[in-house]
Amino acid sequence: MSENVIRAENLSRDYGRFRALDNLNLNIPRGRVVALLGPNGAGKTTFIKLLMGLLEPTEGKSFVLDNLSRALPGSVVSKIGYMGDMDEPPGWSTIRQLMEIQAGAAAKFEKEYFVQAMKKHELNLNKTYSSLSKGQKKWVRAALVLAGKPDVLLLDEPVEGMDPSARKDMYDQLRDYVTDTDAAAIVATHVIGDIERVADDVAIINHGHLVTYADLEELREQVREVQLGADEDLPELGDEIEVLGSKTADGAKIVWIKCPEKAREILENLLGEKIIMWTVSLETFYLAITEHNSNNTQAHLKEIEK
Amino acid sequence: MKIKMSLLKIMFRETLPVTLITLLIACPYALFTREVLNWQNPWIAIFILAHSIAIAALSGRYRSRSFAFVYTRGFTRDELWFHKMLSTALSILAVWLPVSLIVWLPVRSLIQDKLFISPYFPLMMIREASVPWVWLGGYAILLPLFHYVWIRRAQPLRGENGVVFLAVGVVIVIATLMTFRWHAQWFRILIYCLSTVMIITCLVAGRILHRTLEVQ
Repeated sequence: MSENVIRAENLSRDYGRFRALDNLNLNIPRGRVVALLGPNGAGKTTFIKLLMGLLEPTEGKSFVLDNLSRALPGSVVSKIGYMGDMDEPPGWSTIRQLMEIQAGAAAKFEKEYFVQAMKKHELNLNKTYSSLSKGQKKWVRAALVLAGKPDVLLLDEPVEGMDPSARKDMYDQLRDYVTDTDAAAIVATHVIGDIERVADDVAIINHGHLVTYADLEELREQVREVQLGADEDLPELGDEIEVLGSKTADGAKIVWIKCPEKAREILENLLGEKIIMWTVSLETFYLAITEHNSNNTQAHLKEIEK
Repeated sequence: MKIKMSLLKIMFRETLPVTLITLLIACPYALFTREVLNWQNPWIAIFILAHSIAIAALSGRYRSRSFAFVYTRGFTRDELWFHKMLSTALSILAVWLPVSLIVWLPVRSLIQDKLFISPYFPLMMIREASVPWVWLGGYAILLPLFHYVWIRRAQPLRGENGVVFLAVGVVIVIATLMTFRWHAQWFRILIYCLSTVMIITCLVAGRILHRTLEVQ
């Protein structure tokens, strides 16, 4: 079996004339939690559904545990823990019924784990799904996935609607699970602050394109926010520095750059005291890169119009 | 294939409202209608048609949230198909069996004879006894066909108009055949054979297409 448990090769998907995902290539190895970020409509959900085999790709292929997503055998499909953004069990079903359904599907399902998870959040197994709050519903579905002991977790907005302590609990359990079992997880989310704490890698999708896929630690080391005067520009340093985005606010220009340490030293020597440079959070990086990407896309569209 | 009761329950429950409604209509009709039941009764034919469409529609909502949930638990598509067919059979049996028992046991005959003082009963009870099998045959023809229609509609390349026309065509042919009181023996055998081929084709094609349907 190959090291990469999730593979996407030139993966594209159209909805009518709209291309939701465009030529995406991605390999995810075992033992990694990947934060899948992107604005609304970027293609995150489509990507996860394509991996799960729920949609037919317009072009390209995707593989999970070395099997084509659209032809997953029973032995593989039961090893995937999926939590979609839009799918929900029928409102009349009780938590106990949901547990029984999941236990029937996932060979390694641990009922005791699930029951304990429900107890921890004071959820009675006889409660109907429709009587739960939005956060409780998410928690039940997340616990169903984790209790199934999957090798691959595909989670789309798993903590939306949860309170901060439940979010922390959920992500802590996910992190521990991936570390203990060497599983792989993709977590599509808009709540960046939480996932930053537990993710190993970050993949950013915008307008259906994979903009960034990188080790989170490396990103933290390489990406810097630079503050310049409103009329100032960064000196030309060739390919050493990649400008991810910029904005002007309060008489200052903020530029986000990605560069190795050596280039940063050169930059600091060139600009001297005029430069203020600091590390950025994943959220800041995400905003910089999606804004930059949007500007590029708009410029590209304008060129096409011309 | 092993029957998974939890999955069967959730699928049967999807069609339960329509099963209860049809049961509430069918049982009183079988008890109190004063016409002698025969296989050409248009009301029963319309009832079976509507019931079949309702079951296929309810168990074929592949773009609904609850279906996305069930389809992403880790069951294989073939397992899901098998349980869908089982739940369909149960939904039919839940209506067909009580109505048939009303006809077969002397319940209907007693009510017609004693309550309505019908001159046809209990004589006609024997003649009516074969009619429930015709109803079951109607379900057996229509439901695989309608399941197939809904599965085709959920394919990436739908081609749904063609398959809807096919279903409408089959219904028109059945309705036309019902207007003739008598059919030659060879023609009956031909119809039985064609129906069997159509049922098997729809079930096999439905199972294959079910593996590639899109759940959104």
